[in-house]
Amino acid sequence: MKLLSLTVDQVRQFRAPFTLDGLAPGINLISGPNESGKSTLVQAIRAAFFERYASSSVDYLQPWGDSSAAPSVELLFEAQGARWHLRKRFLKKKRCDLTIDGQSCSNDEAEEKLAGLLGFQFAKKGASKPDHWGIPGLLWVEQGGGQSIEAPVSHASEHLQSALNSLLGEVASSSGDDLIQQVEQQRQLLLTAAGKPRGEYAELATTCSALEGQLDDLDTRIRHYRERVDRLALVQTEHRRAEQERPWESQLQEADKSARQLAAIEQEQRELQRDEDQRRQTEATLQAYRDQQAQAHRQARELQQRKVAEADAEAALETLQQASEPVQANVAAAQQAYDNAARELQQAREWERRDGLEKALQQATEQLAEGLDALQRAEQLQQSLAGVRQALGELRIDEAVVEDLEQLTAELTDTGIRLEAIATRVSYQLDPGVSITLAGEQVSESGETLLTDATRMSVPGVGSFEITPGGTDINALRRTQSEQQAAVASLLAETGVSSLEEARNRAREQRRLAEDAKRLDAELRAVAPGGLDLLRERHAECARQCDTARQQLQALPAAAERTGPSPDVEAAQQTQQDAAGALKAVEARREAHQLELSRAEVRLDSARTEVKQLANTLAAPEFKARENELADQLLRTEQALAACLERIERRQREIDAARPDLLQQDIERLRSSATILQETHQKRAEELASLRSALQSEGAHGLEEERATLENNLQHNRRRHAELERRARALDLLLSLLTERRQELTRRLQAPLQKHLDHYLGILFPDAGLQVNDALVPEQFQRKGELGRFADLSFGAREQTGLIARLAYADLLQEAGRPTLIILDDSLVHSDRERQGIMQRVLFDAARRHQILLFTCHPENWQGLGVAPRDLPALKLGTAGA
Amino acid sequence: MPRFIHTADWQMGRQYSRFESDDAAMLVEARFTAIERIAELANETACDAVLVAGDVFDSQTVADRTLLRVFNAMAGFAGPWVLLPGNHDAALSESVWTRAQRLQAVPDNVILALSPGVYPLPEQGLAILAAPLLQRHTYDDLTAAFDTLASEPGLLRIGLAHGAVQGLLAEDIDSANPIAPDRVQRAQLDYLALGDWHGMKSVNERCWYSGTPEPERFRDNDPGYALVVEVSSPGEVPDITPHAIGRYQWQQRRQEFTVASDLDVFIEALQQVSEYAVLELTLAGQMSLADEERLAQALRQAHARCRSLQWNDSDLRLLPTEDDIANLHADGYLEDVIAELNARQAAGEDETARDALLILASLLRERQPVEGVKA
Repeated sequence: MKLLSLTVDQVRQFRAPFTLDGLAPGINLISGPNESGKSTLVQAIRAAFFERYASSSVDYLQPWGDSSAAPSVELLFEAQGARWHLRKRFLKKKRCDLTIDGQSCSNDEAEEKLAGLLGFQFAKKGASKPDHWGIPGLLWVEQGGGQSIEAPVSHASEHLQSALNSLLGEVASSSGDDLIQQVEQQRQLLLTAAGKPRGEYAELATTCSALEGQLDDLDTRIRHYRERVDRLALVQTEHRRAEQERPWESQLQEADKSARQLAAIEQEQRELQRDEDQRRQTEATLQAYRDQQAQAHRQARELQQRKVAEADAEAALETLQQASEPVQANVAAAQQAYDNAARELQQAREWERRDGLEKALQQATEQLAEGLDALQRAEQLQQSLAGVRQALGELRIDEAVVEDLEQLTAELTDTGIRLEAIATRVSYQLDPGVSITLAGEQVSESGETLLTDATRMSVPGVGSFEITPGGTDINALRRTQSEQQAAVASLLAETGVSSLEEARNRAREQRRLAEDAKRLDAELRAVAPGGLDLLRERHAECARQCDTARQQLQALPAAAERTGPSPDVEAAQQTQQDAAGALKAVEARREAHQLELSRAEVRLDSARTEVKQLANTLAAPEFKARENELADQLLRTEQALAACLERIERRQREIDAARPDLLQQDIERLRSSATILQETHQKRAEELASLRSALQSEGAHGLEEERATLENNLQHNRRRHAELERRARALDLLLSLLTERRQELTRRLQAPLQKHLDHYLGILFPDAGLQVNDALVPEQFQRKGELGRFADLSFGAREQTGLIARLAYADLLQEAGRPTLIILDDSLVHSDRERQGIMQRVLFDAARRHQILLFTCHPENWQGLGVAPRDLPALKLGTAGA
Repeated sequence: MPRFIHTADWQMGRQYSRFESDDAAMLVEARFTAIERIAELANETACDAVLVAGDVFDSQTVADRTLLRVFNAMAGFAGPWVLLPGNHDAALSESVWTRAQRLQAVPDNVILALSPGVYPLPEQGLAILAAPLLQRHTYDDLTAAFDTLASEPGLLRIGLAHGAVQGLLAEDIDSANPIAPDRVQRAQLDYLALGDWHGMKSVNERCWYSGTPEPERFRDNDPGYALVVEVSSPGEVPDITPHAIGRYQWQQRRQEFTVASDLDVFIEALQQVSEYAVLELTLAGQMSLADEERLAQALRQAHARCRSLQWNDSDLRLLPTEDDIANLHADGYLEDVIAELNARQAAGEDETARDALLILASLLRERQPVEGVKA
């Protein structure tokens, strides 16, 4: 594809028609500063192709502030060996006209032809978006978009694929990719991504194993049921046999026989027991006789012993009798000493008492005198106090009344003064000798009178004047005055005084007397703290004490003449106590001696009696006769015992031979066997009943039919499971085959692209490798043996690589006979000078195959490109040669 | 002239796990219908009695309802029915029979021959010598007792037994419940009614297996009959007439597809199947994808028509033809995939490759425009 000329009118800053023509088949470098309209031209080209002429979303094309403008773009280009002339007007009088080698079409038809030529789509609604742009979206790089490659490639993917397909022929499948998706979806219904069953398929396995479990349970129940049926038959047979044979009865008969034998032996055992009893009795009798014989021998020996004891007792008594006399003497001496000490103590105590009484009497007498003084003084004070109190009682004037009186008098005085102040003052200065009558009084010379009442003034020879004092208050004041006067008089009368002065004097007198009374009272309290009565009582008590002491003294026996100092009572007491102790000790000794003496006498007495008694007994004739009889009885008893022992031995032999223990065991054994047999029989009957009832209830469940139903269900599920399993396997196989083939195909498809990519990469990064993925997007970058992702390269490197990738796509498309036009708007601004240089080589190389429009605001960066820049401002002015 | 029906092996309570549940239910139902038909037949042919030679019930523990329904189904014939316990319903100490008695399900005209011995039916002129199975299996010939069993003179001596006549059926050698082949002669029987073999079979002129009245398996041995037996007088050779009772025809077929016309013949045959057919097909050989589609279509239609249709096509190979591939628009690598699947199929792997091929074909078919529009 080769763009020949471009004309814009009413497009942004191009308000007037502007034509860019003379475009070269290779590189066209269009330069201009910012805002000079480079990007507008790019936009105009994009709009001419991508936007529908009828679209209302292209108002950005209008010049600023001119909403009536109808932006139009006109393009002339060669493609597919024909000359294409495209005219498109937007927003106002919208149209699209296309002439291909003289054949015209317009509007929608024209637009479809364009889309088919270049490989893009129109937006169904609104503005065209990147995913509609297809091949041009990949080859026309917008400002700052060079590094991003994945999205543009994916948008162009369909066209790229079809270009590749047309290169390779019919290796691709028209419906293969959709089919893979379908198979995948169907496989997903049955299997997870990891190949595990899911959904119904997984549930069926669970259901089957659950059903198998139930079936197992049921089989077990059926087996038990059958076993019990067999058991029932067996038990039934046994039961019937036992019912006929009744084996426990023969056992019971055997047991009875043994019981009878045992009874006979037990009778023998009882006889033996009786013989044993007799033996024990005889032995006891024999022992008694032997004991009696021994007793007689013992008595003879005892008599000798008793005689020795009698002699011993006599000797002891004699010794004691000899010791009696000195003991008695000691007691008498001690008694004498004690009596003396007691007497002396009595004497000492009497003296001590007398001294005490005398001292108390003296003290009481002194107290009596003191008490009398105090009493007299107190009585005197009491009397004075009574006098003062009586005077006080007579005075009796209330201090408050005096104060009231004072106040009333003062108010009265005040009223008088006020009356005087407002009274009519009559001053007169009469000529000598002249007098007048004023208020009935004769006045002369000069003076002054205050009038408070209407007053008549008579001037002799003249007549009389009635003077009435003016002012309103005077009468009120006068009334007040007379009320106050009445109140004062009333208070005075109440208090019983004639004047205020007197009242004051009496109040003062009253206060003085009160002071006196207080003082006297204090003195009285000092003399008689507990009151006068208590004082009197104490005095009387003191007098009584005096009397008592005196009487006690007189009651004492007349004092012996005292020689020397008073005896010490304490010492006397000690002596007396010592003497009493000594007396007690010797008396105790005497008593003990006496006791010993008595005992010795008793002992002797009893010893003599015993000797006498025993001697008498032994000497008696019955004693001898008894001895002989005893010997006789001993002999007879010994013979009876021997006979008894012989019997016992015989019986024991008989019993031992019969083995009663075994007989007892036999009875137990046989009876227990019978019981067990009966119990077994009973249990069998019970088992029969229980088996029957269990089988009946179990049978009612229809186990085997239930099992068959369950089996049906299980088989059904298993069949379904097997079907799904087959299907899952088949889908799995199909998917893997399809995917495998698809990948193989992709690898084949990628080969031509890779070839072009390697061509440019060799110029830019010698010894580097760049691999594209299934979607034909550069993915892996390889340099000096290191492997990395394309996305991880630096921005600049990605921009450069993105550009060469685009050039490779363009080569591929061209090979497939597709139109290619490369538009770069300010590309490679992130490249350093060196890379910029290399990229110029790359572009120059690509321009030999493709037309390239390169817009830039840095023409100096592209000086090595081998073409002259076309300055856009100059072109606009028409100053540049075209 | 005593006349009676000989039937056996009702196997009531049997279920069919191999079929879909609604089909299975219909087959179960057919067994009840068979009893009703036997009752009708007894009336129509003026029979004196019905003798059932064992295996009335398929198991000892059938559901109560089944048990009651069996006796209800017999209500159509008021004459005596003699039921013999077989190996499936042996007269154990606790059995389906004791349960039936407990449930009071047994009508007065139904005689349960639960213990060995003679069951005289003087009014009908019959003495039934019964050899019921008292255990599930026995290795003694229970009919041996017939030799010494006396019966009232003038009555026909009719043996009723369940087991395998020795030496008659190859697979029954050493089998349980043996019956001596010369029992009829030894026991001087007028007729020996046997059960256990599910097909109708004559042992000799006086001894028959009636077979089951309603088929229940794919074994082509003449099931589905009841026998009407007529003996003019004691000692005379009985006159035996089989009557078809069974409703469903159980058929197993194997079909090999080699040439294209095989399919046409097969489809035609499929179109003829009756509604009472129970079919099991084994399909083998090879065919194109297009033919496979025709076959599937025919099978679907037949399946909708007959009682049950099951087929196994794991031996059927698919051979996609060029036409197939063209019709399916299987271009590009899809063609490779089809070839690969085909190769795997040929290599005799399991049916997975074939299934995958079918899925692929069906997916591709779905993508094609409907035929009418295509034209």
